[in-house]
Amino acid sequence: MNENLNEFGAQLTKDMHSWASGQLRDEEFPFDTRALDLFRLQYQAVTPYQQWCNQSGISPQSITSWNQIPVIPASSFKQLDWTSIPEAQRVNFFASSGTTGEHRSHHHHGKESLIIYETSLLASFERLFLSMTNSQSIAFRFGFLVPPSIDVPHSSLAHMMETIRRKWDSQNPPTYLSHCNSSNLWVLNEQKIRAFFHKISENPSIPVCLMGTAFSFIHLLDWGGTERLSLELPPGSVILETGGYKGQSREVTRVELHQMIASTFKIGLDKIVTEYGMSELSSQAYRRPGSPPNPFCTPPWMRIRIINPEDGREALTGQTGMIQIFDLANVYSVMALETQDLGSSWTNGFELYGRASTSEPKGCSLFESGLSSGFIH
Amino acid sequence: MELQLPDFFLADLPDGVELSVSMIDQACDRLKENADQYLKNRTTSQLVHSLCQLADNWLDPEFPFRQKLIEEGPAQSGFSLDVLMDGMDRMFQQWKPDHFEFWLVQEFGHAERIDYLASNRLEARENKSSRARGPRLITHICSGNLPVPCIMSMVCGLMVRSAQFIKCASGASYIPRLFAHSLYQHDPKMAACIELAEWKGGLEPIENILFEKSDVVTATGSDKSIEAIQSRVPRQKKFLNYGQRLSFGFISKKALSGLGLRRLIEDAARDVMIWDQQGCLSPHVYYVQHKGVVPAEKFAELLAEELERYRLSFPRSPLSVEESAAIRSRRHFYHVRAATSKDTLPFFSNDGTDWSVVYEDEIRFQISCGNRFIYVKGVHSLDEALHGAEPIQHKVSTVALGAADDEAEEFALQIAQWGAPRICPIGKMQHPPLHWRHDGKPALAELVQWTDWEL
Repeated sequence: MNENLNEFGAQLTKDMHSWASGQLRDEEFPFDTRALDLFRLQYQAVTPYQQWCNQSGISPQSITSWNQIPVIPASSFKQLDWTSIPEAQRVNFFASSGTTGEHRSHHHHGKESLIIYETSLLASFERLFLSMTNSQSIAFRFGFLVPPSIDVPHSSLAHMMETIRRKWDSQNPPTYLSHCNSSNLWVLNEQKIRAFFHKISENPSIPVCLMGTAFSFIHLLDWGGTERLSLELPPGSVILETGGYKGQSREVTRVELHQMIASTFKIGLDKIVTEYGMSELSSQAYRRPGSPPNPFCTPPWMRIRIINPEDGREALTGQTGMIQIFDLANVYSVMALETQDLGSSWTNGFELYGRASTSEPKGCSLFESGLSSGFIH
Repeated sequence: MELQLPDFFLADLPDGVELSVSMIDQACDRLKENADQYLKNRTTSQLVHSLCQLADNWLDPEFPFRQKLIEEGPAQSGFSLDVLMDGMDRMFQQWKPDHFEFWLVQEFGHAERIDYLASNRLEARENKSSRARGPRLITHICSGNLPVPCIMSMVCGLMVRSAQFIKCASGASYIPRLFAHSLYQHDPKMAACIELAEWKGGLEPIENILFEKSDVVTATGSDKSIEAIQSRVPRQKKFLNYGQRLSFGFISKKALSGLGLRRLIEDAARDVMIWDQQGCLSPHVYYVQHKGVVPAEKFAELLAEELERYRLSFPRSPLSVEESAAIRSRRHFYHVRAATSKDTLPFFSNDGTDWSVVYEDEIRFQISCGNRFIYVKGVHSLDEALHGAEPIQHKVSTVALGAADDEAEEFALQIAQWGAPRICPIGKMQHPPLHWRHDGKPALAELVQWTDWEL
């Protein structure tokens, strides 16, 4: 069974390489055909998915377009192993970030699926991230505001950074600027940050690519302020900011955060890119810098659909709804996911408003609506 | 003819007019003077008579304020017309002289305790009489989920002859304001002892002067809001708070076996429907005892059918995207669970999120996301249900009981010992009587100070 998936994956990685090098244009990628092919394969290979589709009365024979493919809730990776990879062939799983005691999702990976994950990531990084920051080359001094992936093997974000490091920064000693503390929280590695910025001041001609979660940037900015440390970056430096910060640091709006980053690092707002990804996916979306904010863009093997949560129908352009993601790089699991994030679609991408949650108590009545906020699994 | 509301309360001020410390300061002084002048010398029976007349007006289809509420209330409150009017009518239907008398006697041991030094039979035997005095000025910080508690706060203040400042939650002043205007038209002197304003909580300069001027501050809302308010109310002021609560029901196998089954299902669905499950008295879970003639799973299915009937006769209020998304995400979770476990049975409305019933053979209490999303959980006994609800024991407001006559008292005793402040029949959860002790606390008696005269 997995031979067919391997074959699909091989063709997809070939396309990814072609797209990254500019040989394949977005519109040339046959998304619909590929999506229906992959659906047929996943329906056969992922047993719970087949049951799920049967419950909805949908089979590969009954649909004609990618947007009819049944989606599974991304949160259900906490409940079920949505994978075609036999246990013996699994080499890792990526887990959602979560608080202690909370169920975390498991997105299983084997050797082949990791190759696709990494190819997808590098292609998008090269093609989307670099063009969005008008960077001429990838000759950056990299800094990663995450712990080394060896310490957090189930973090897809740390794996993403490690993949980028191995590809474009393997000659230098790794510059992971965070580590896990005794409570397993990601915190800044102050010693490494000092050394990193010292090196920058020694040779300010190399532009820096600093990557991290929104909360790690807030921590860094706060800490830099307290320590009166100059965090100025050389000209041409770029920032990749990803992930949320709820509960991990003080909360600021994304616009405020970008302004703080720009003024502290002394770089333009046009050098800050936001990335959107999750452990249940194998591709990422990137937001081009700009004001007013630009929508997120995806590589051509990843599409977004916005759903009106009330009736499950596709929302109109500009209307807020729940984000569904069809990521063909999820070859060995399930490609069609519904997230718990709210967003809206635009002609050239999508806007993200964050996690749908009415977990704030309403008056005297106690409600907990977000699946991650006290809802007992 | 369209009813125009005059600028009488601070809440009537046009958008953009900012409240100032001196406005609040002056309003408090004026309220106190008005209460001294217009309220202190009114007898309880005069006040009750006036309020009951007003309630009758509100129940009259021709009453202009009712018509205005019908016209504008749904858009202003977010509730569908049926849900809104059903909830409001249930409140006004309670306003009857004998209900007020019962309430006052329950609270004070005598219906005219605020009027004079009164003695009940036992006190007379002991040669003792007592009088209760309400505070001069009460500030009520009201929550925004339902309009009824805010209006009932006003009634409590009037009963103890206090001037009152009502601080409505942001975006939630329309219905209290409409009620206050109806009072102004009906009994202007009584209304002159009430001020009403709306702002987003946390405006410290304004709130600080308000707390400073008040003798008692009451607050209804989330535990977080209450904690924030409490930290700022001066220590010498009395602070009464009503934090977050939730409710559930227990239905015994005997109740499921009798002729009243149809009625029981209707009542259970009604409790979910009233105020779209937005109140602290609305059920999150029905624990249903196994081995009845109707199995617990079947009860869930019948409840779903009844909620479908309500969808047509009492449509749920329109939801925000976030609220719909919360239901959709939760439904997904149970769809997945049901695909892999026979212990979970989801019953969901088609084409929308109008209602959701989840049956689970798992006793642990589950907090609903509201908006007609109800859990049914099979249990072997009341013991098991109370054990399942232990994680929220300290937060329970009401336990509704569906039981046969010969077992109800035993169950009620067990629930009382467990610590629930209120036990009521299924179907009455969101319909507490006037004399209901809010979260187990006496609504009027907590407000007053006493003078005892020992002869």
